[in-house]
Amino acid sequence: MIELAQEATTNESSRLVTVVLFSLMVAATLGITVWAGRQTKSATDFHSGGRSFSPLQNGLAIGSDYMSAASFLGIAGMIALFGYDGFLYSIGFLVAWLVALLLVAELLRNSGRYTMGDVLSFRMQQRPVRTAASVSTLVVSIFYLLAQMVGAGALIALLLGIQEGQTFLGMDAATAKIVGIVVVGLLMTVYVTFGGMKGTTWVQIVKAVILMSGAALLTVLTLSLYGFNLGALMGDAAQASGQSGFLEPGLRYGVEVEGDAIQTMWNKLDLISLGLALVLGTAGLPHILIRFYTVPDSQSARKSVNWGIGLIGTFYLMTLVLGFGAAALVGHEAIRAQDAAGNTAAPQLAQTVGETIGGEMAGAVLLAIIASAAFAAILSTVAGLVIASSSSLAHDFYNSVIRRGKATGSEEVKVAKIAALAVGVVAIVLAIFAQGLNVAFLVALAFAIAASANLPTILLSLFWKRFNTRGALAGIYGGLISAVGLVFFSPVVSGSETALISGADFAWFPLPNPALVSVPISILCAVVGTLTSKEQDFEKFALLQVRALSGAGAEKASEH
Amino acid sequence: MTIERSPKDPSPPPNGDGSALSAEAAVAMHSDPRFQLLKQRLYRFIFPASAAFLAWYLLYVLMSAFGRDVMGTVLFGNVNVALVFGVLQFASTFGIAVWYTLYARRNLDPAAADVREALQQNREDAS
Repeated sequence: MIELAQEATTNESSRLVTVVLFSLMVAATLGITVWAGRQTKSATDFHSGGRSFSPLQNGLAIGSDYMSAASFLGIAGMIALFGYDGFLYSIGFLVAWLVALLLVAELLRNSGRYTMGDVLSFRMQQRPVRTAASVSTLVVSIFYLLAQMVGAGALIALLLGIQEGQTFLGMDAATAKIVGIVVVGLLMTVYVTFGGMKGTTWVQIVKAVILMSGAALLTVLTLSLYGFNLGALMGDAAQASGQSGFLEPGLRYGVEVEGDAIQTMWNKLDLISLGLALVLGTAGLPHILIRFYTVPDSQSARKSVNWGIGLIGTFYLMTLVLGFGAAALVGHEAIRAQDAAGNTAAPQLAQTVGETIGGEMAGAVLLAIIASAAFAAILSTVAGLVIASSSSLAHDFYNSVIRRGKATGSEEVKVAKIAALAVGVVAIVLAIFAQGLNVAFLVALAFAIAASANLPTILLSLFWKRFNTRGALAGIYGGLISAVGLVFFSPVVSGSETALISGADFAWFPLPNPALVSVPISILCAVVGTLTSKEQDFEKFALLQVRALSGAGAEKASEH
Repeated sequence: MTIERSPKDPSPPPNGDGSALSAEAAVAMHSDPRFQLLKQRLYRFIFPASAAFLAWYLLYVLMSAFGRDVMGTVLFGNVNVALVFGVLQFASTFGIAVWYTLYARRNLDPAAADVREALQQNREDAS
């Protein structure tokens, strides 16, 4: 009885600190948004923040865009519950940045203006290719957004410590989830609509600093409990997990099913398919690609990717400590009891470590800090997704397709703001309807679509002389339709216990991750499409290559 | 082989400040030795390096799927091959990024500057 009462006070004080920190952060970011909004005048300001961010600033924003709650809480949780396989996931996320660095970032910066569609359509017939680029941008961004927001609703309820049957400020857990979705949705819409790319980028910079410092603090404190001996921590984690092979691959991905060689083979192929999507998807994510436009030139784009790699790499190494720390100090049962997917492993670790080091109040404060860092991670990623969608709708679809390139900059900005509002509302409504569903697979699907529909066509555009409109359209739609179609007929959607639609079984494609098949399909479509069309424009290819490689004629930073 | 232009587009691709690069100048520059040098230096790095790190990463993923016995081999203490292999993926990513940056600074940036200068020169000569 006494214990229960004590727990309630810890929860209360932690909630109070969490709410205060959340509110401070929201107030600060809204202040930034208002300030940035006043400085946003031209279309270049709105879509690309005036191209005047420094490499470090853009590197922080890249990190912020990328280190979503899914990668912070998700990977820490995966390591805590399944050990090594969570680490495997983070490696794909990191190595992927080399594709962006070597093949995409600088060339894209030099040849495009505001969107991914700029580069894809450079040599092609504008309207069909820009429509395709816009469709692909929206599908990837909405899927990613939906996964983040559904997660956000559940997380905010968890971070505030509202259990089933409890209430907080008069909200029960179900209401808190909806409130969480609406608050996140409103904030991201406000950041983008009023602050444009400048506001969004500054919000992301602040959040990267909060997230990195929070994670670093917890990492150091966790390691200090083990005398900074990582080996001892891992040994403890493996022991506490109660599972053999905790420090080896195979507990989560490529699981070996006893006596079922065929399923084992599918599981292993699925691991390879996932690995492919992770490594090829990043450089095809529209919200990542448009970050390269926010710096003055291609050298700055290169430097900002380097900052991004440094930050993201460091972050995933810290997540490794946090995940093993949670496995060792919080324990498998306690983590699963809070959230079956392990998403609260890092916050739970914060509370445990704080309590061990400085007593209950320290636990409450540390929990609040990590909860705020996670909240920051959610907000900055969703804001990046909204601006990518609204820029593509305004620039690719409205200006180039509907107005045939005749819209003025201020018309484009007005449409982008309306588009941001519309995307925000659609995302909130979809997320509320989807919140009961198991939508975690949407992040992996977004990566698979980016890897299939976007990356091959971007690379063929930049490097293949013969490539043409029909090839680009075939590549984008072929990749998009095959990735989405294969997932629709996979065990993710039907025919398994954890499927989206329970009680139905129309699954015939055995892999939950489609990239292993959909990437080759997209490339094949692009090549066949190209070769069956006579269109060939060497002049534009020369223009694109000279511009992309040398930077001659590239968009300049706007003067202020 | 028939060569066809794409039909005139209602909205031409954005072209920076407009004056900077014309199609004729780009076509001429595309076969200029200065541009060829830049292109050759870029391709010589990015394609082999990409093939190498993708193969190295794929090996890691394949080993995680099919080479569990090797990956589980304990090297010392709690450190096994899987962990070392994973950390090496981090190290190679950082290493290739640094290597490329040094290479680009030494070989690509000056060559790109030459190309931009040549284009500028041609424009001035023409006017």
